[in-house]
Amino acid sequence: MARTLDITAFTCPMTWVRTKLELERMAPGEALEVRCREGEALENVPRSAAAAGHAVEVQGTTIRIVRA
Amino acid sequence: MNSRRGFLRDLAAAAAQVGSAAREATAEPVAPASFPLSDAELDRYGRQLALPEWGLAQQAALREARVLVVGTGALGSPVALYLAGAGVGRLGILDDDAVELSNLHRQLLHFTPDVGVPKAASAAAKLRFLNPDIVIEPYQVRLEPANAGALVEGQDLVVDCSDAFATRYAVNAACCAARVPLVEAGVSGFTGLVMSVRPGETACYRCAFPAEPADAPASAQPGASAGSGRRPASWVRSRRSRRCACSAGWRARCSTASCRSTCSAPRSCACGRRGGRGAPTAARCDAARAAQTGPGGHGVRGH
Repeated sequence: MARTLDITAFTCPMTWVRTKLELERMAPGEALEVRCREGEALENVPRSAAAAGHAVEVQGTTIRIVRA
Repeated sequence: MNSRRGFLRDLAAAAAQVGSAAREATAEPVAPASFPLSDAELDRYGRQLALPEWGLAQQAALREARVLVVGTGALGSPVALYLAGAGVGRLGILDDDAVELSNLHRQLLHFTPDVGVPKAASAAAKLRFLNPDIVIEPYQVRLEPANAGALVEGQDLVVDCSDAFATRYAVNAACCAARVPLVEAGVSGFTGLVMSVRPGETACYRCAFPAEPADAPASAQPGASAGSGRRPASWVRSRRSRRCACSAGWRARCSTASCRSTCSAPRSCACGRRGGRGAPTAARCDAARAAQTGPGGHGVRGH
C-alpha cells in the first residue's frame, strides 16, 4: 500500500514543500499518493514533482508520485 | 535612558512571548514524532525548504550548527540577520562597541533608541525577536589573541565581520589552529572582499595578506574596514591589488603542479602550512609575488 499525504489544508508553496519533504523520507521507487485540492496546488505540485525528476500521475485530485 | 531600557525590555518580552507561543503551537505536532522538523519550523523555513538544493537534512543540520559572527556592524548585521533567519541553531555574536548615531545608516541591527547600548546586547535583542527558536549568544568582548581560541573552539563556522586587521589576524590564527572554517569579509567604501578559509585545504587570511598595510586606519577607528568612511587612496589601492590574492585566486593558481613545486609557505603563516612540494598556498612564494606585481598578474586568470 502506498504512502498517503493530505495537503488539502495547505496553500502553495507549502503544498509542494510538504510533498517534497515526505518524498525525501522515502526510498527510491516508493510511491506516494497525495490528496490535493482543485486549483493551483493540483497544477503546481505535479509540475514541481516532475521537475524534481519523479514519475507523476494525476487521477482526479490524487497525485501519485513515484520517488526517483 | 528610561525609554531606551523600556524599549529593550519590551522587545525582549515580546520575543519571549513569541517564543512561548511558538512552543505551545508545536506541543502537538501533526507530523509523526520521527519527522525531523516541527510544523512551526516547516512554516518558518518553508520557502528555503522549497529550494531543490535544500531539504530536511540540510535544515536539521543548520539547526545543530554553531556559528560565530565577529562584529555586528555594517557587515555583521546582515550576516547575523540572515543566519538567524535561516535557522542556525546557535548563533554567537561578538562586539565590544556601543551603538552610535553614525552607525545606524548602515548597521541594520541597531535602531535609534539603541544609541549608547552595547552592540552585542542590541543585536541579540533583535535576533531573538527575529527567530525565538534559536539560541543567541552575545559576547560583549573584544576578540584578541588571548581569548580567540576559546571563542572559536567548538564553532562550525566563524564569519569575521570585524573592523581591524589585528582582530582579523587573531580570528584567522585561532580558526587555523582549531581547524574551524572561516569566512573573512571586509568593506571599504565601494570596495569589498570575501574570502573563505578551510584550514588545511585553502589559503588562510595571513597567506593572502601577510602584513597589515602600513597606512591602514587605526584599529580603534569605527568602521576601519567596514563602512563608508573616507580611506587614504594609497591604502585603497593596496587593498585592491591585494584583493587578487583571494583564496579562489590562490587556489586556482596553486592547484597547478608548477606552483606546488615553487611554493614555500611562510613558516609564520597561521594556517600552519609547510613549504615545499604539496604546499597549496603561499602569498610570499616567488611565483606568487611575481604574479602579484608583474604585468597582468592578477592571480585569477581564467576565472
